[in-house]
Amino acid sequence: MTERLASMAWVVWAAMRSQRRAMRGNPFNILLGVAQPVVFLTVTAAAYRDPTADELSRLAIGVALTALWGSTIWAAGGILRREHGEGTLAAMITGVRSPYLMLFGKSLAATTISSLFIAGSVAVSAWLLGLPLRVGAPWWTLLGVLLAVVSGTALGMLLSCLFLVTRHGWAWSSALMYPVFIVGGMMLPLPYLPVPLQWVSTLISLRWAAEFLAGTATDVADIPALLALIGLTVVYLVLAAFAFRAVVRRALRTARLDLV
Amino acid sequence: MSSGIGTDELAWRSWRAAVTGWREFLALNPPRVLALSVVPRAGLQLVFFALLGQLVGGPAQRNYNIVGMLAFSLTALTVVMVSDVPVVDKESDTFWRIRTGRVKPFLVMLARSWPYPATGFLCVLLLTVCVIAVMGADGPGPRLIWLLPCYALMAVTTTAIGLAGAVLALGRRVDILVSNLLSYGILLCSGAVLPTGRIEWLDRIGSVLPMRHGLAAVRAGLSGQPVAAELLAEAAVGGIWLTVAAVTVALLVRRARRVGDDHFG
Repeated sequence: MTERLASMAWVVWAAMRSQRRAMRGNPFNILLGVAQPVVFLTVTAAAYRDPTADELSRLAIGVALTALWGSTIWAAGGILRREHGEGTLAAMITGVRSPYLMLFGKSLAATTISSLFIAGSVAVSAWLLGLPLRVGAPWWTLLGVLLAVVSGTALGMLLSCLFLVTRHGWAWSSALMYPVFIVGGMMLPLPYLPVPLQWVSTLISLRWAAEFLAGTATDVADIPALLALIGLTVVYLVLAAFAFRAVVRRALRTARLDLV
Repeated sequence: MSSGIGTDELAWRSWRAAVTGWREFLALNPPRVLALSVVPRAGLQLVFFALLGQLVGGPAQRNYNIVGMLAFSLTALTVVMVSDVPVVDKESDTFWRIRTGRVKPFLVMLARSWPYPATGFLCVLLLTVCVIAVMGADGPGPRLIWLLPCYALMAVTTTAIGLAGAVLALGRRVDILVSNLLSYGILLCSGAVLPTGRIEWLDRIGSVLPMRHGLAAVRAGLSGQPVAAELLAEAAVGGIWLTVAAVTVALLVRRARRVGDDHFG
């Protein structure tokens, strides 16, 4: 059992290292991890009329999670598409090691790297703008951040499978960004959205991450939001497993490992 | 004038380059992709920033953001996607044919770039009609229609900086990074969503970037003030960036002739 766990951990670690190398020099690290959060935070914080410290903290958290969604779509969501493009997808699927674990490791690395870029950019730009950000409950905050990263990983795996079965994955990536920015409840509070669209954000784990982290900034642990974040993350992981299995089965059934 | 050819021949060759540019544009951006991806994205971007404006500054900031995002919707085509014009030549190993042609390479590039500002402007036109139809008196108002020529000028000036960024990045294979960074820089410094006077150093950078003066002209026009001075400033900024692009292309051509390599690095 221990040996099996160690073997799985090794697969995940090797996949993470491979993804880290693949992302080196990728312009999207700078664009979605640095430029986007810095610009979003600057244009909203500097235009804010008489904001309170709580509102600014919520805004910074919202900007970070919005950027995480953008990075998830392009970085983690594009993993299998990139394998397909580079001709390594067939080897990944038919290899000895579990392809699902490899996808998990790659998605985890992509989300972790993006999160580090985003957190650094938001922290530095908040400091330069003189925003009075608060971290009321450090341990809850840390838990929230880690769960947001895992949730982003799960979302990335799910999107990666969905984007693989279309020839227009890039167009889908582009098209999916702003709808979730709008209805995701990360930067825009729900009362600002039309009532018929407000329920959509309940299905997006990063909305609950935003609520939980905004709570920890004021020293409040919003346990229902935490449970929703964990629950949705588990659902994404299960859906990703089903989607991945369906994609592989389809490829084997049709004898087309290029899948589309 | 190009390589001693007459005006008629220059016009004909430029026309052929423009036709090729249109075909290339359609091949790279099929109408279906434009209709289902580029235009909806621009609309959703506008809605997102309008709602953000409502959040941070109420209806006045919302309308301010709408006017700005109508202009910013140009940049997807005129700053980011226009970089395909020189990049595709580099990737297809066809730059030498343009370099050795009778028309100056920069003129060919300009003639092939026209679909980007034209399509960008059509996108602005469509979004403006939607904004007026949906928001009515609550939005920036029907006066926007009369100010569309200001947006047309911004389509040209942003194309100038888009081409300049693309050719400056050509040798380093960083065209995606540079064009997108320029686009984010314009969003940050042009006053599209951040009112001028909030962060002084951003205003200084913005004054040498396209859209800043054009948007000032639109906002002046909406409040019934004269727009000519700001439009002239916008045209001057566009001219500067066009010159940067032209000089860079001339240097690239000279270097390619000297070293016999059209890949620029």
